[in-house]
This record gives sequence, structure tokens and C-alpha cells, in this order.
Amino acid sequence: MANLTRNRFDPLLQVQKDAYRCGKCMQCKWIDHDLMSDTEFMAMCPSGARFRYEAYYASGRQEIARGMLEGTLDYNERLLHILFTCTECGGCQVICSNLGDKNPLKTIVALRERAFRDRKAPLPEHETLIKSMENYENPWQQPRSRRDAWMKRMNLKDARKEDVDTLFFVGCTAAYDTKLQENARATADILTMAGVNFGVLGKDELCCGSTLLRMGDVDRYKKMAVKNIESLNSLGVERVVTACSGCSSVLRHEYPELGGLNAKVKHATELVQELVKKGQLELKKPIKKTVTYHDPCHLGRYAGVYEEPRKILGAIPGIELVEMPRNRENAFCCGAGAGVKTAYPEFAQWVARERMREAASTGAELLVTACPFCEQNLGSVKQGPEVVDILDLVRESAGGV
Amino acid sequence: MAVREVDLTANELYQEVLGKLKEIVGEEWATDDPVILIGYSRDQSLETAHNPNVVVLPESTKQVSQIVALASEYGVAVVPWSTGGNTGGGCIPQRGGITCDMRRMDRILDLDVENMSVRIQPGVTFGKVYVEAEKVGLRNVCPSAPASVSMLANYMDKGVFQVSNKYGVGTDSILGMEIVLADGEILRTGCLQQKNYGSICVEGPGPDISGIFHASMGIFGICTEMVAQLYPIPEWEEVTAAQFDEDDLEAVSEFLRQVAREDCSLETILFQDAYMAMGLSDDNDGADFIRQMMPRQNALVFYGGETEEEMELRREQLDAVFDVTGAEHFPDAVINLFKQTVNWKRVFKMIQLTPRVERTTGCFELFWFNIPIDQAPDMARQFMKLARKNFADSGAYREDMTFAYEETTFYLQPLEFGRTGMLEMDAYPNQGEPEGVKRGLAMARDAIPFICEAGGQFDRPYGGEESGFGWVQTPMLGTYYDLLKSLKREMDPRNIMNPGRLGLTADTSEC
Amino acid sequence: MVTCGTDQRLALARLRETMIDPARFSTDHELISSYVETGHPDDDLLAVVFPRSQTDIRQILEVARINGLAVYTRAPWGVKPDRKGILMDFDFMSDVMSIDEKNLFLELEPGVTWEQVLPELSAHRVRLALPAAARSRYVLECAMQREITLPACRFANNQLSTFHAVLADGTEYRSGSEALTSSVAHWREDGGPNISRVFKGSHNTFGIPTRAFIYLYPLPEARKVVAVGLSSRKQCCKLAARAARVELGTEVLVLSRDKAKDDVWSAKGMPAWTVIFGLEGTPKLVKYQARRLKELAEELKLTPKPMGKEFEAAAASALEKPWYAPEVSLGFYTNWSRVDELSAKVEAALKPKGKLAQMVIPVKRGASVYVQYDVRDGTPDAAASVKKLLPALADAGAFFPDPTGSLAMHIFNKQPVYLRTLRQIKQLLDPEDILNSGQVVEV
Repeated sequence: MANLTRNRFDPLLQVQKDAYRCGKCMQCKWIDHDLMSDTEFMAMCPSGARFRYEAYYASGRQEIARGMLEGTLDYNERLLHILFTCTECGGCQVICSNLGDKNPLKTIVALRERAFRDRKAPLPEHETLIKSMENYENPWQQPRSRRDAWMKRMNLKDARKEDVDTLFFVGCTAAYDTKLQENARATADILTMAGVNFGVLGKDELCCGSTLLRMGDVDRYKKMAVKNIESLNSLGVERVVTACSGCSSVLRHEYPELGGLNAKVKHATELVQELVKKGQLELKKPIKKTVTYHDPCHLGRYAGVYEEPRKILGAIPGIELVEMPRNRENAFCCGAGAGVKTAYPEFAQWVARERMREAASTGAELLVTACPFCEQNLGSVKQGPEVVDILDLVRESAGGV
Repeated sequence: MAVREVDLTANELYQEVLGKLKEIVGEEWATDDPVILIGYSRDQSLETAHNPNVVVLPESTKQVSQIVALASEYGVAVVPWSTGGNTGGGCIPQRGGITCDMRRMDRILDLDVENMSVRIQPGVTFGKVYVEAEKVGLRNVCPSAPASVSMLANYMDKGVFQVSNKYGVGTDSILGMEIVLADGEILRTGCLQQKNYGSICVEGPGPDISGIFHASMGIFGICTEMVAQLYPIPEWEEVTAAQFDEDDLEAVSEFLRQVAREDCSLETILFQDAYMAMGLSDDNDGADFIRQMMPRQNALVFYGGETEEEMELRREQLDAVFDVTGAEHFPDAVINLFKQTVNWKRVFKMIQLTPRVERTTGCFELFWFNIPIDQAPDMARQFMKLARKNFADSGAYREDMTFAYEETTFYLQPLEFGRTGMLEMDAYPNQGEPEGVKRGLAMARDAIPFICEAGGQFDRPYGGEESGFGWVQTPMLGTYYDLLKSLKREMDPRNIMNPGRLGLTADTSEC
Repeated sequence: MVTCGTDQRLALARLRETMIDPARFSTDHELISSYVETGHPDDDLLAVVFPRSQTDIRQILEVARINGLAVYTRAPWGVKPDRKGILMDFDFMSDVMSIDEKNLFLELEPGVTWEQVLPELSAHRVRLALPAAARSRYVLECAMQREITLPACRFANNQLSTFHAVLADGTEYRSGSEALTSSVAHWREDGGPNISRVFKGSHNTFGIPTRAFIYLYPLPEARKVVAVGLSSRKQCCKLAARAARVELGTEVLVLSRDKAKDDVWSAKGMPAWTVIFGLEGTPKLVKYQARRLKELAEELKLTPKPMGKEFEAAAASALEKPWYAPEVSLGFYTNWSRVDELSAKVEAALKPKGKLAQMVIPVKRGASVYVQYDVRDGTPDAAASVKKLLPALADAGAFFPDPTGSLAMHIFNKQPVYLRTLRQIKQLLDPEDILNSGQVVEV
């Protein structure tokens, strides 16, 4: 049994109190009962719902933290599985901090950090991802030169060279995934149609570092984040807009710890909703579809942005929105986040299938989301409604192609 | 049942057991990995954490039966775990063994609208049943506990509810049970004793043996299925409240007793100011602020009926109780705040308070016992003295709490017609601090004998040797205790079923 | 079973000595026969004793143990002794020990009858849940045997709080909070597993109750009995079920014509079926309930005929007394949807055997029902016919809460482990099978 040295750099020391104070109310397993409408879809925790053992839930992970602090637990394959199958969706955090005033997500993140410090992480599957970040500054093992491929034949301003007040931060997934590049193009088209004075970084855009942070590789994340902060602050823009929930969450909520951005960060749905409200963007073309909306974790629970996307859908003529039983702060994760899709693709697929089953239960023709990572994972499921990004619908309704 | 005489080390024994468990439930659902075991070692009580040797997750009664039969063959302990919400250490293994996690058995097997009943497995939560029953105009009776706890386990554990003045306690709502006994045999009681009885409100047939399994923490068997009573949701429902500014516990108690006696309410809930403030706010600062506006004791009373007219007539009955007892009405503004803040028509609207109270120190130490209502105030005051004695000068251990360690909570639930009351007194030790645990255990050692000697009765004798009601009270129960021991020896000769509970030994040799 | 000396004369002598008062000991054959079920041999029963206290009971049991005798307690239609023994009658233990008006408990001894206790209660503003088909005239026995009550619709059917009993070895047993001598709560739940429940429905085969706390209920401010007639049981059950669900009525009773005539009021032109509602509450609430019943009937598209003031007054009076089941009768629990089916079985078997008077009582807000059949003016073989019918009815799903003898074995044997568990308990509590040997659980 390892005798892990407790020292002042042990990230678990920050969460020690929570680890001991978990009251075992078991609420972290379920969505808020006050808002529950369908018991077929009541689970909150993806890893718990799939693997079922107590350790896979926040309450169990608190016990693991306790065991690690007391030195009674050693690393093994199962422990790493428990730590890294958490998508960090924040579902447990919302209910626990509301009811119990504790932060289970912080414990989970601390456990991962500890694994990195103890050199038990990264997982072999994550090593490729990390190498990609180091070599290409993106997680997709794609060369930097291809980062701006999505914007070929688009005449977009270079935010480094031209006078713009808004930076469109594309994010790695939309930049490199050939299917999801359409999201980036849609966003750019919308901003253009609305007359927003924006620019992009093209090849010089760096990864926001979200994947590293969520995986627990805090040191590498910090290096990347500091670099990004310098780069973005040097632009002098007032506003940074991104269509990726993960990016918006990190830029808005995590970067401040490292100095933060001078510009205001918005998710594209927040900006679009403002533009529609001001009349700068007119959604005139009807789209006669029944849709359901999937709240991305990093836009919803992490940033509290629930209503803006819904207002946008409400403003598109012909759209009928049918909510899934688990929506808003109770939304079930897509299954991809925090390195889970890379390390445990089957599990990520399982979670996605669960979510798509829920989407199918609404009878909706489309599942709309506001995160390319969600779109990617949910869209890989064969069953259920077609998965689209909200900005695709906005562009179509605003008259763009 | 064959008893296997094994000459193996404990490790070899459990390896062999684990192998056989995997044959029963599949590779995925049994393990002895310490990182899994630790999840089953502790609950919110102050009992010391103990790991099981193996955890298994069955999905059917047949599998549970096979597991228990195997455990019996090898002489290893079996500890049932439904949702793990036990607050008294009931699921913490005292002698290692197999923790049988029932969460995969989480189906509502039948919801009988005409006969107002539901048939459930152990992993079914209160919330799950409530949501399904609500769709057909019915509801379960929800405990003063989170909606995430097992309905089956709570009913078996004599759960006390805000509706107990009307519908009794948990065991009153059990119509039938399926139990796996210590040798793996399956016993069915009540309306399940025969397949075609239907869901009927009965005891028996014959001498009622179902009671053996109530509040037994699995020492006689594991309940794998239950038929439970549901109740109609009133068409019309409203809430009023009485406030008591001073710590006039006599006035509070008399008010609650009269409300219960008149049988004019649907539910009654008594909340102390801090507790109520916790429920109405999202954080401790908010609770602190609200608390300053609250009266000390707040008795919420829900009333209603089939029609609005009936609801109004019940209100008149309640107003008469207010007049007779001299209770003061809550200001409407506060009632409105309550109604805006919580989903008050959902029965578990207020029971989310339980985890919220844990915001203070991560846990609370419950002492709940039976006492005639008019004796509750005196008992409460004595209890508070003990709490002050044990938690005074706890300043070093205070955190950002809404109220101090030395405070306690007085929660009185009148039972049918106010014949008697269930009094819950809570203390708030800090599980996260060794000193907090020490003080909490000292409190238990003081309070439990005091309560027993002063006339209170714990009807759910949770806990182990350190802080358990069972360990103190059960040996005081005379012939009952003798019968309990004899029954345990008879029904579980190898002492494998959750050993070490209720003042009974965990040792196999003494069985 | 240990037989330590079989000199019955010595045993009887010892008992006579113990009882002291000759009135409390009898070997009179006629008296003894009156305690034995008709048709069953009575020569195994050697004497009847009338204990006056727990001490007496202990002594009786000791004598019985030493001499290998069984001890029987009176049974509603007579015991069926399966070996030599004596019978214990509790008529000399007939004290009403206390009436707690505030906490609503009645404390009494096993010999207290309904007829004795009701006048005593009249001085207090409390009442009991009266039996609807009592087989015993003793209050404690009815509670221990979970007899169906008239207000079963609203008041939980369990009327027993705590009790004291003497076990076969003479030890005193106390149930619920009574087991904790310092407790004052009279709380029915044990301080742990509810082992005490095994005594209920056991016909004293596990222990002899010597004292019990029975639930009292406050008298309502206002009360009104409403009775309506309908042409079919189905219609009555429909109205009763709905009323029960919305808590209209403390008592809700569906009676066949013969039942209503025999137990309530006989008049010309009575409808085939009657439903009686006992409404309670404030005067305004009672008035509302009476009106609401009419509205409910309309909503259900029923046209009940009011039974009239005379009938209702008679019903009100009848509801203030216990209702007894005749010797030839049967009662069982079931669900609403099965009333017709199970009733048809009963009627097919018993209609040729006498006049059938039926009653249906919603239990616990109509979550289930109790069906009672009285066979009146029966043929000589009516009792035998009932006995023959019971196992078939049980097989069909009728729930008999406290069967005895062969019916008990028939029902318990459906699940061998159920019978095994009962036998384990019997073995623990009465290893020598002294108490009511063979009446419920054969060891």
C-alpha cells in the first residue's frame, strides 16, 4: 500500500472537509426531485448510472478522497477508472451545493490533480491527447496549419491586424472536425449578418486548455492558459464570443484565477439573443420543426445560461420546443467531457445513447444543442432525432445558407 | 442448507466467495476492490467506518437468495444496502463480509390505482414513486428524509412522516413483503403470502410474522420486494402556520396535539427558526438573515380536502384550534414567501431540508424517540442541557454555520389523534473534525441512557456500539430482548445477517 | 414434549388449591362441554379454571407444564382439544384499569366485555372502534385477533396498542414501549423489530395476554348517520368506494337486505341493498358531507333512495353497539374488483344452506374491503358447508386474517417456509406446546 506523502501541495487537502462531511443524502445521484417529471429519466450522474457502484457517484468519490487522505487506498486500474469516467458535468455539484453546501466537483477535480502529481495520470489514452496539445496546441492531433481550414473562402477579418471590437474564438473542435466546421461558418455568417465588427485568429488561435484542466493536468493547463490570456489581451477587443461551451466556460470562469481576460466573454447564444432582441438580427424564415434542446453542461450548469438558447428557438418561426424531462440544471450530460470520450469511448457512447433515448421520448425531430463537443458525441448515435447546432438554425432562419 | 467447513485464510475465503458471487451476478457486479469497498464504509452517523470484504449488486430476488445461501454456506456476513441513506450506521459492516447493494433492483413493479398501492423493489426511491403516483392522483407518504432514500427501507424502518398524524408510520403502510431469509429461502408475508390476494390492507395471515423484519436492519432477512399503501392527493390544499415566539414548548406541543386530535390536517411539520431558514435559503448567510425574521418555533399545518368548500371547513376547524390553544397565526407575508420559495405541494418539498441541515457541519446527530406529547417539552429541555454540556466552548470548531453547535433542534411529530408523539432532537457535531466526532459520541453516551430512563422509547434502535440507540436500549427491554436473541439464534444460527446490530453480538461463536 | 408426571388427579387437585375460590375451578362436564366446539370430543378437557391475576396464570402454567397438560383459552366457537388439558377463562380478570381521555387509551384485562366497558366509557368523551363482526364478546380478544371494526374505513384496523402477556414458561412479556419499564408512551411499536406482532392473530398460542392498551377516539362535535338504498351490491360498492376514497364517512357499510333487516331495522319494502354512512366533524362539516354524498351519487349516475329517518335513527343506535357474527359465518379481505367474483363462490355454495346476510366494509379509505357473510336459519349441515368452502375460497384469493385448525394449515402450507417460520416461533415461545395446542400452529 502506498504511503502517499501529505504535504502542503496535496490538492486533496483543499477538499478534506467535504470529503469527511458528506452526509450521504444520496441526492447527487438524481436530478432535483422537486423538478422531476419522468422517472425513466431521473439519473443525474452518468458514471454512476452506468457503473452503479457507490464509488462512481459523488458520494463515493468523497470516500475515495478520504481514503487517499488517510493513506488507506492505493492507485489501481479501477481507481483511475473511477476518477476518469467522471465527465465533470457538474450535476452533483448543483444539487449538493444547493442542499448541502459542499463541492463534490472540486473533490473530483482534486482527485485528478492528485493523480497527475502522483504520476498515475495521464491515462495512456490521454497521453496522445496531451502530446497533441504540446505539439499542436490542440487535442485533435491536427497541425496548426489546418486550424483555419474552416474559413477558407470566407473573407473574415484578422483580429491581430484589423480594428475589431469582437473576437470570434472558434475553439478546436469546430476548427478541426470537418462536420462541425459548419458551426464555425454559421457563427461567422450570423455575426456578419448582424453587422458585428468581429475578427478571428485563424491559425494563431490556441486551445483554451479546457481539456487539460478537466482532465486534471493543471500544470499544462496553466501554461496554455497564461499564453492564451496574453495573446487575447494583446488584441484589445471588447468582447470575445465563442460557440463552444467548453471554451466559454474556461475563458469566463477559469481564466480569472490566472489574471483573466480584459474582454467580456460571451457564448454565441448569449450574443445572438441580444442581437435578436435589439433587432440587429432578424429571424424571419420559418423552420417548421419540433425540436428539443440539450443544455451543454458548460453553458448551462457552469455558466447559468439556460434561457437564451430557448428564447432564440422561441423567436424562430415554426419551431416548436418540447423539453426533455431532464433539462436546464438537471440536464443529463452528453458523455464526452473531461477526457471521457478519449479514454472511454464506449462509455461516452453509452451516455450519448441514454441522452438520445431521452430526446427520442419527446417525439422531437431535431435535438438542438449549443456546443460542438455535445453535437459531436450525441450526433454519433444512430438512433433518435437528428442533432444540430442552434446556430445552424439561426443562420437558416436569418436568411443565410 | 449445507455448511461448508473451510480451512482457508480470510483472504482465500473471500476470493472463493467472490468467484462464486461472480457466477451468480456476472463479472461486472461483484468485486473486492478496496476503491469500491470504501464507498460502503460510512454514512452520516458518527459510527466508525468499516469496509466490507466484497460488494455485490444483484438484480433479482433469485440472485439475492443465491447470495445469502452462499454466505450462509461460508459463514460470511451479509449487509443489505438499499440506497445507503441510513443515518444510524445500519449499513456499515461490523464484521466485514458481503455488502449486498440493492440499487440495481430499482423497479416499480406495479402501480395499482384502484386499490391505491405500489409494488416496489429496494432500490426505488421515494421520489420515484411520488412522481409516478402523482400522475394518477396518488402519493406515498414521504419521510423527514431526502426523496433519494429507499421507500422500502424507510417504511420497514418505521419512517415517521409529516402525515403520521393521519396515516401512521411506515410500517402501517406495508401491505406485503418478500424476504430472503438467512438460509436463502424466500418468505412472503401479508398480501404477498399468496399470489392472488391482490393488494389488501392486512396483517397475517395468522400470527403476523412480518413484524419480525421491521426495523431489523436485515438481521433476519433482506426485503427484496414490498407492496405499500398509497394515499389520495387532495384536490385542494393549503397551508397555514402557528408561530411561537418564546421557547414555549408547552404551547407548541399542545397546539400540535390538538391539531392531531381534531384530525383536521393533512400534515403537520414543526420547524425551529434555523431549520426553517435553512429550507428557505440557498446558503448559510441567507439562512442567517431569514432566521432573524422568524419566530422561534413554526408549526406548519397543511389542510385540504376533495373540494374547496371542504378545505375551508377544515380551515375553520384549524382556526378553532388556534383559538383554543392561543396560538398566533403566521403573517401572510411569510406564508407567501414559503410558498414562493419551495415547491410546497410536492410532499418532499420540505424534506429536502434534511440535507440542507447538513450544511451546518456535514451531518446531524439524530435522536428520535417516542414520548407522550405533553412530556416532550420537559424532555427537550433536559436534552438541550446535555447538548450545551457537550458542545459548549465549541468555538474553535465553528465554521460558517447558521447556528451554534450547542444548539439543538426540537422536532415534534404528533402521531394519530395526538395519542403520542415522536420527538426528534438533533445535535450538530462536525464529522470532519476529530474533536467534533469525540463530542458527538460523548453526546450519544449521555443522551441515549437519559432518554431511555426518562421514559422515551427508541423504536428504531440504530447504530453500533459507539453511538447506537440499540446498544443501550435493547438490553433494557427484558423478555423482549431475550426473545430477540433467541429468534436471531433460531433464524440465523450462523449470525451472518448484518451481525452486530441491536445490541446483539457480531461474533459467530456466540450464536 | 416433556411429560413430567401424568397424574391428572394430582394436577387437578393442585389447580383447585391454586384457584382457592371454588367458583374459579370446575370439572363440571356440562360446563366443560360448553367450551368445546360442537361435535368435537370433549373428554380431553379436564377442567375450567378462572385465573384472577398474572400470578394465577403462572401457577396454572406451571402445573400444566409439570403434568404434561395443554392449556387452552376459550375460542369463539369452541376449542378443539387435541390432547389432555385444561381451559382458562378470564371472566375473573375483568377490570377496566384506566381510561385515559387525554392520550386516548383504554387499559383493560382480558375478561372485559364490550357490554361491560361501553357504559363505563359513556362518562367520558371518548369511544372505541366497535367490532363489525365480532366472534368474541371480549374487547382485548377482539383487538388481539384484529376483528374488523365498524369504522374500518377511517380508523386503521389495528386497535391494539401495547399489551402484557405471560409466556408458556411463566415469564412476563411486554410489547411496544411497555417493554421499557420507564416508558410512559404506550407506543405500539417495539423498541426494535416488531416481534410483538406475532402475538396478534395467534389465538394465544404464543402467550396469554393479561392486559392491553386499546385505542380510544375522541367523540366528534357532531355526528349524523345517513343511509341510502340501491338496487345492487355493485352500485353500493361504487358509491361506498368513492365516498371512502374522499373520506366521507367514519363508518361506511354496505348491507344486503337481510343484513340490514337483522342488524339495523326491518321494514316493508326495503331495497335490496343499503349503504350506511357515519358522518362526523363540526356541524358544518357534517352538513357538507351529507350534501356531498348526494352529489357523489349524481356524479356516479346513481339514484339512491333515502332510507328515511327511522332507519337512520336505528342505524345510529346500531352503530353504538358491537356487531357480532353468528357462529355460522365467514369473513375475508379482498379488493373491490373481486367482490362479485368471490361473493358468487360463496353464494353458490351457501345459498342452499340458509339465509345469507352480506356486509361489505371499505377498509382504510377503501384501499381494500372486508366481506362478511352471516348464514342465518341454516340447515343442519350449514356449518359443515362453510367449513368445506373456506379452503377453496382461500385458494381463490380470499384473505382470511386469522385462520385456525385445518384452514390455518391449508393456508400456511401454501408457503412451506411460512409455516416453518411460525413453527420456529412456536418452538421458541412454547417448546412444550402447552398453549392452545393444535389450534393454530401444529408443532
